[in-house]
This record gives sequence, C-alpha cells and structure tokens, in this order.
Amino acid sequence: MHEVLSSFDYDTAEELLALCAQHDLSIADVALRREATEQGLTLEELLAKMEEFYGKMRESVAEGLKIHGTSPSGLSGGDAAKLYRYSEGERPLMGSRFARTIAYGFAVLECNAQFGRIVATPTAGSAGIVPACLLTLEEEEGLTTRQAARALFTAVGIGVIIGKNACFSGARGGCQAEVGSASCMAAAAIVEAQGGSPQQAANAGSFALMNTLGLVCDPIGGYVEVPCVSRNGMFAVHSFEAAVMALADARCVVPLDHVILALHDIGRRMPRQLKETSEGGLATTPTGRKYKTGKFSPPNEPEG
Amino acid sequence: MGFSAFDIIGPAMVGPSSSHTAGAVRIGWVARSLCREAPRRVRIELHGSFAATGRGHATDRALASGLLGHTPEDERLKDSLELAAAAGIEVSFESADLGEEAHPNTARLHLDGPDHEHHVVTGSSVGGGVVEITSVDGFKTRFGGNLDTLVLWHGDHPGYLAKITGLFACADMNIATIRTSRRSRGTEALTVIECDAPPLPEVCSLLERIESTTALRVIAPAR
Repeated sequence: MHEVLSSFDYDTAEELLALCAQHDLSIADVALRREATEQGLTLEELLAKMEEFYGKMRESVAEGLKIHGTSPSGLSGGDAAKLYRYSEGERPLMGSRFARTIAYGFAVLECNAQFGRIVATPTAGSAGIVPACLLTLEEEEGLTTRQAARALFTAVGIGVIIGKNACFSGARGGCQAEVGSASCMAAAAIVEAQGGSPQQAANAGSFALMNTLGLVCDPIGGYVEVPCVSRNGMFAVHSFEAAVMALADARCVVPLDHVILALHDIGRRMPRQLKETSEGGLATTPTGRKYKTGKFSPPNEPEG
Repeated sequence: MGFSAFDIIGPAMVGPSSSHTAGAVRIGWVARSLCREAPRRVRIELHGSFAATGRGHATDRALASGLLGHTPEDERLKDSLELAAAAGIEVSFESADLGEEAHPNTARLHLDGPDHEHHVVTGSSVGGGVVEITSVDGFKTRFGGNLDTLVLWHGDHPGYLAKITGLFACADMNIATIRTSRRSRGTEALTVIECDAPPLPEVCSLLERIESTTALRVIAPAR
C-alpha cells in the first residue's frame, strides 16, 4: 500500500491562514511542506536549494552595482552605482539604508537589461524588489542566509495564491501583476522575517498590493527598462512601508484574497495598449516614440 | 497543485523578461525536443505582445536559444541567432494573429527536419517563465515542460492507454498527468504524459514496440 501524503496545498489566503493556524506553522513552513510533498524533497533540501537562489540574487545585485556602461537600448545603466555612491555620501536623505535599498532594486534590473543573470521573482521585470528587501534586512537586521531562504518561502506562500487566482504576466495583467505581486510577496516576507504572524504577513501583502493596483505596463520601446528599473527601486521601499503598516497592526480592511480579486478584475479590464505592447502610455509619449519598438512584421512585409 | 516554489522564485535566467525571454527559451526547447534530429528550418509566428515587443525583449534570440537546446540560464542567448545559423538551422520570424483565444504571449513554430520530419508546435508564455504548450501537430494538448514529459503519436485504437499505463505500472513509474486527443475516431491521436522522474529507457523502448505507436519523444525539463 502506498501512503497518501497529507496535502499542504491551498488556493486562497483564507485557506493558507487556516493551515497555519491548524498546524501552528508560519506561512514559510506551510509553503515548505507543500513543496516537499509535491517534489518529494526534504525541507532541508528545499531550503538549501532556495539558499542557492538567494546567492544568485545577491550576485545579480553585485553585478548591477558594477555596471557603468549603458544597455544596448541606451535607456539604462550606471544609475544603481550612482545611488549606491549617494547612499555612502555625507548626509543621504532619509539615511543611508533608504538609498541603498533603492540602489539594490535598480542593480538587479540594470543587470537584467544587459543580458545578465537574474532570478525571476516572480518575473524578470520585477526581479529587483524581493532581493533588495532581503539584502537590506541582511545588512540592517542581521538576516542570515538560512533566514533569507525561509523568507523566500514566505514569498512563495503568497505568490502561489496570486498565481492561482490572478497572474504574473504583464501582457495579461499589466505591471500590477508583476511589480504588484513582487511587492506583495516581499512585504509578507519582511513581516515573517521580523517575527510577525501569518495574519500580519497577509495584511502586509494586502497593503502592498492594494496600493499597486492599476499599475500599467507601458515600457518605452518595449524594453524592460523605463520605467521598470526605477520602479523596482521604488517598490522595494513600498514593500517596507506595507510591512511597517502590518507590524503596527494598522487596520487592514480588505483581506488579501479580495485584493487579489481586484488585481484580476483590473487586469482583465485594462486596455491591451497598456499591457506590454508599448502602444500607449509612456511608450507613445514624444520621448517614448524616439525609441523604436522593434515590432516583428507580418510575412511579406518589409521590416518596420 | 500548479505553481511550484521555483516557478515563483525563479527561473534563474538571462534577462530581460521572464515571459518574453525565459519562457520563450522554454518553448523553443520543447519544440526542439519534439524533433528526432535538430531541425533544418524553423518558421516562427509571433502573436500579440510577443510580436509587439519581442525584439526589445530578445524573444527571437530566446526562441533560437531553446531550439539549440540551451537553458534559460545560458549566457549564449545573446549570440543564439548567429549560433543557430552556424549550426545550419535557418530560423525566421514573422508576426501573426493567432486569434482572440490565444494568450498574448504565444508563438507557433513550424519545424522542418531531415527525412521530411515536420512539426507544428504552439506555446504560450503565461508569466514568470511558466509556459503552456497548447498544440502539437494540430492536436490540442496542455503541458508545461517543467516535468519529464513523454509524447506519443499513435493510432486511436482500443486498449492503447491500458497498454501504456500497464507498462508504467510494471516499472513503478508514477504518472502526474496524462492527456490524449485525437483527430477523429479511429484515426491518429497524441498522448502526453507528465512524469515525476525521467522515464526509464527500457519503458520507452517497450512503448515504441506497441504496434499503434508511430513515434515517441521524451522532453526533459529545461534547467
């Protein structure tokens, strides 16, 4: 007889929080057990694998901070280094760590724009947010690599719900599906890393996501650079704001499941011109039009 | 279940876009894996956002990289068009309208190989590097290429599924998902089986010996 494994799978935040309460586990613990059942791996193996991914995230930040030249499009490059230098200056506004978090978000996206290696978290266009937050916690709060791996499982735990009930695709849901999801995951990860409860982590996700709803995907020239690079710096900070609100137990009126419903609804109604087609918004401003989108042509038509 | 931890954190990849680059590599990889030998000519139709912003996202280079059998993390992506040409694979791209129903990030690949081998593969990149292959050689299907996958072309004959699942049972190989679709009753069919581990070569050779089987391919996950 084969043993039937107990499932830690869930479709909603409500179900996830119920599993946490039932087994007295954190979101990271539930996400780990869900994965262990599915992959047939031990918790230790999964954490070790996640540590490897965290290592790759760190490398992408380090690579990005080294960039001085511009990307092939000419739209990005060198700004992560500038922000880092500013953070080390005499009186950086809001303190050094503030500018440094922004620099890390920039760094990953600048690395990405130059065909460098990154970890999609959950997408490449939003890959700077979670690493910037965790690296900041590592430097400021002494987060260990193992704790970072656990925090990444918190992010996974929340990401699963978004993936099942909405999507991560800018082409289908706009930037809110990418940067909104990343920030939602990062905020929850920060809260659990700081010892917050599963409910507080879910609330942090709510705060982060409800304040990214409606964000469109209108990149200039179709390149993942403007506004994506600065947006990753900015929404890394946004994730900390959401975490602070949750840790302070500020009133969270809309539960995460309902915010995700709104994400899905807005994504469906968003016009296609604003969903990664570069046919509207920033992409079609006079500045945006200076950069060729490099569309593919239908057969037998000359390349545009 | 859907959405493994490493679908959400990951893939580790070469930029700039998880859907337009890493997902496109995976679609190319699956298409290549469906061919017995490296294809000589591949015509690729790009739909929706793939067509509109594919160049900026290096979707063309990504598809070519997958066709060369490279993973999303392979840094040769930026030279893949040149590498494909050097390997004798002619790759062309065009925009196309694949209909209202098609996901905005969809590619349809027409592959021609030696000995008149020909395949048509449609795949969508649904976000975060996750892909869905929706059609193979005109058969409707649905698989992600993230698990070890067996693809069988066969006659729509009674007992075929019982034979193949019997072989799986004998080898103690677990089936994660299985899907069969056919052109029409008693004609040709395609069965796609997603497994939890690479299928044993012994089982594959027995599957090939079933009379109704016309072809078999194994697709390894691209990582």
